[in-house]
Amino acid sequence: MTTRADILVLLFSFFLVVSLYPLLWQPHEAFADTAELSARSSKRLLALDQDGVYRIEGFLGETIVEVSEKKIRVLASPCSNKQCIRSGWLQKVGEFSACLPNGVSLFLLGDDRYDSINF
Amino acid sequence: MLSVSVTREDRLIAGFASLAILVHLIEAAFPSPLPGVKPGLANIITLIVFFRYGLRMAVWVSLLRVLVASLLLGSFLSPTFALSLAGAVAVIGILSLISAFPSRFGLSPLGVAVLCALSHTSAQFLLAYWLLVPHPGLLGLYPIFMTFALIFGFISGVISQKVYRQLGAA
Repeated sequence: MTTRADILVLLFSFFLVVSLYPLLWQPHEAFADTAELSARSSKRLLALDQDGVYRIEGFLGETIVEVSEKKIRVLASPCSNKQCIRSGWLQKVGEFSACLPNGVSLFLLGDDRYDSINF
Repeated sequence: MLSVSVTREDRLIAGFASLAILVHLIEAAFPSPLPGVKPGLANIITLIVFFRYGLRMAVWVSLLRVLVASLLLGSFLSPTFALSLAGAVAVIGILSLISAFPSRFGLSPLGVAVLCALSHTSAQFLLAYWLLVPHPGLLGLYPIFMTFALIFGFISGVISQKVYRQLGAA
């Protein structure tokens, strides 16, 4: 009593489900639109669509960050090991760079609203 | 004195709905390997009612089941209930679409069961993504849920087909 229409539905469903894997299992890349730059007591939001060079005062001295083509990086830091500079260009939501000696951190934000509601 | 006239159809709806509620409750008692993955055997009853008595009664049976089972399980108006209702509404949508075509598109309970299972899961997933966990990471689970939906839809389809054949048309 299985009909031709059933077979068609089964085949279609099978290919649909199989094709969902390559479609949704690619790494998703959400590009950030804002960077939160914080140091000691100051905190500022930088829009990534405006290129520029920004300075912020830390414990040791001035950290300089650069925004260019929707990416951001630490350009110069008065710290000794320069981990923050080695983080390179940041552009995806959730990426961050921090300079512990100078107390400066950079965190990239996107437009995700909240990640869960608990009942 | 108030008297309510009960038709034969009412009795059938009540009978099938209670059968579906029973299956739903038994199924709820079993632990699931993955939260949200359930065989959905209660839909077998909906399908058989759909094939034997048509869309109207299937809608009644399906909505009554969701309502009463949620009251019995204590999940009425909770997110679980919302998900359950979303699934039932999606299935009703598919059944309405199918019944709008002559001879139900030529589909047997098997094909309809698979379509119902996939749309049920999709609707629940959409609601969960929209309302509960709007995080892109959730989408990674969609293929897995759909795989289970296909497998369980196929199994309940085979069962529905066998039961329907045994019962014959009403």
